[in-house]
Amino acid sequence: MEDDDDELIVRVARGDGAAFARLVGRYRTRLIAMTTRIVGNRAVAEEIVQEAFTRAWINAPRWKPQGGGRANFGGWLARVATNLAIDHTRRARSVPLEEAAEPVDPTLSADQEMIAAEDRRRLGHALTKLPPRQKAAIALTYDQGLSNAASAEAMEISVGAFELLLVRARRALREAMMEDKAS
Amino acid sequence: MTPESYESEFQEFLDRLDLYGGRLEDWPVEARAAAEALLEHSSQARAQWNAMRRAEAALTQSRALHDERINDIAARAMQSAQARPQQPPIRRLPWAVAAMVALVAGLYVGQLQISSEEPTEIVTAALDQSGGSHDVW
Repeated sequence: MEDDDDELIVRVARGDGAAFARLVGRYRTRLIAMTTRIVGNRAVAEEIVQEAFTRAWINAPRWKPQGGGRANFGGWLARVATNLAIDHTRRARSVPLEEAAEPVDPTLSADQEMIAAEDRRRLGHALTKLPPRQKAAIALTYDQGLSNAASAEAMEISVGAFELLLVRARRALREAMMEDKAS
Repeated sequence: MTPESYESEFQEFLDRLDLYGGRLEDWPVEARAAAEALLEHSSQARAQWNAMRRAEAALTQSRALHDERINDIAARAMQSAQARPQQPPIRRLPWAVAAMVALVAGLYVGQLQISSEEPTEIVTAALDQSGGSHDVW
């Protein structure tokens, strides 16, 4: 049976490296995906995620379990990583467009894979034009898989304000796909 | 359907598409039924819906990372974190002790306050000038 996050953090607070490894293993993939989406650069995202985990380690003895385990700690981590990523993006306005991961889906035919690759390229380009907070809204929703309420908490804004960011971001991506199709 | 009502229905569809995303399963039941009806007869709506679904599919696909790389990142994160000292836990007073401290502080402050049934000199002078009586006190 999986340990609850709160139980793991209690162990991390006592310096338990194995418990920390479990937490890192549990959240690393989604965090890196989310952060890469915001900063647009894998190497920078890795540094940010590393810093978020470092903060989790340092602050573990001060963690206050709130019940519900995973959502709370996961939300806290997402908040730290999102804030670090937005801060980074604001400092470095000209973020280089990183080549998107190019996974090959075995269920797609060669033609379908070519279209999908083109869509990923278009999406990557459209994402670079979004303001950092809209990128964060997309990343929290699609990479972190958080609900609007949890995403709003991670960004420390109201649910209404979060939905507004998400609506604008989705609209921009949808229109980018439409424009490309038209051209 | 009149062109005006189509336009308003189409605009409402776009607003919902941006709010709920391309997965109609995630939409509220009523909104979903209206969207499905519109999608059946509007190629314009279908094009917008497909664009959203393609954007979302691309978002999902571009998330993929190689496991080896992830493991490497995790190892570095752990190494970096564990090299740093942890914060000491915040010590808090038990609530009973905190309540006792508050009570003692309250009693002490209460003792300092001057309670007087008599009006102050300034008020007395004002009442004298206006011809009022001290009986009101």
